[in-house]
Amino acid sequence: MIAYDFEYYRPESYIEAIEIFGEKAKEGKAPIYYSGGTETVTYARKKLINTGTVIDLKDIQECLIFSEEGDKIIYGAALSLNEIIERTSFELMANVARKIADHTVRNRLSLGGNICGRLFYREAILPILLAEGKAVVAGEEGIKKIPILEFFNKRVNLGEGEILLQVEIDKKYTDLPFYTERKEKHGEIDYPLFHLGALKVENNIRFAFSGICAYPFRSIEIEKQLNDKSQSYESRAHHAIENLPSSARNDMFASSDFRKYLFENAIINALKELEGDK
Amino acid sequence: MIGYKDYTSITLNINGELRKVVVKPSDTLLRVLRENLGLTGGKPGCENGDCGSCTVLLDGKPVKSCMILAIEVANKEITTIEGLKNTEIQEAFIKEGGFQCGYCTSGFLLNAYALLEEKPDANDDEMKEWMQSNLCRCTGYEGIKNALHSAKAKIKER
Repeated sequence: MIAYDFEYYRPESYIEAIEIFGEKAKEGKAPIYYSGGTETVTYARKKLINTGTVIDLKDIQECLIFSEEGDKIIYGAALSLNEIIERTSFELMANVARKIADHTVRNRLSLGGNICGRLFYREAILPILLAEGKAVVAGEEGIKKIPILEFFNKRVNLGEGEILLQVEIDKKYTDLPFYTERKEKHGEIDYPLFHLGALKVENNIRFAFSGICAYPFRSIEIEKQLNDKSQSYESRAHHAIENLPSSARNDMFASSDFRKYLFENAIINALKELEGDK
Repeated sequence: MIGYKDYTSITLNINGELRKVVVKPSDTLLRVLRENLGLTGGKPGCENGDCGSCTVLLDGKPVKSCMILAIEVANKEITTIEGLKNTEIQEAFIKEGGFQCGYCTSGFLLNAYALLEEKPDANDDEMKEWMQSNLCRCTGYEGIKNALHSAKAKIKER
């Protein structure tokens, strides 16, 4: 049971959504956008979210698009993870998304919600970081396409009232070799100790990580070290750990040392797999 | 644009029956089913999306009703455990003893029903992937697994 009341709106266009957001913000109703609801409803029940207005984006056509025509893949932000898993030809995306939450939750959990929500794992962003996709964002000035590394840098860069409508990925990345590894404390259905994604683009392996630090990231510096073939796998992985952009997480699920140990092994596995020694 | 500020009357399509109900925008589907409509088959377990005991079907897909607002499903077909009377999966759970205390059973049944309707040839991996969404605190998983295989065989005879 949610112990407080809020208003509910379901606009049919992003323009309506932005207008009602602005209106309700002025009224002091702390509006939030809503799609799958998996996070919003549970957080509202625990009073971790206090809002006077929920704006449901599920009737906005741009948020529901799934397209793999031409040289682009477009995922609407309100698509559920299962819709993407079942329909996409981008195996890396399906592979990462399949490990998030459980099958029933994924029938509701939306791509946009996973990327823009409050939980910091945001695992669905890993393939988009690796494929250097674009975020299609709607705001008062209209629609803009933002490179994902600008849209997400430690945090989601969305202005007040802006909506993530879609994610766009270049199709050329869909057939490339990739590797993913996710570790959990107990079973598969749990938050990750870390989730690693790697994509081999020409002779270079790109890496993106979630769960090891307090935000998902891709680090050009770490990738440079990891692609230095003059070093052993072990030494490269060790250097990567030394150069994490912030300290490795240390919590009730795993100490930072244990997390780093598992993480180092996962990096070695990825290197072996994608450099062809496995 | 649809907008609800306060209590409002909506019609829900539940188990093929149209039911009128007055809800607040912040009411979860689970609470409305149980407390407004008397459909107590869906259970409040964790109310956090973890245990799956509140599972219902929305247009044939399993979802956790504790994580959904009732107001957003007015145009959907909702199936609760009360709508699965005399189905192969119900019979299979009885035959195979696919329950112990029974609290989680409605969630498991609905999820298993949806799986076998969508994938009548579901293999063990698919069964595992789908059924991992539900927890049985009595750990009666063996009976549940047997019930799925038994229902699968029955469904093939249709």
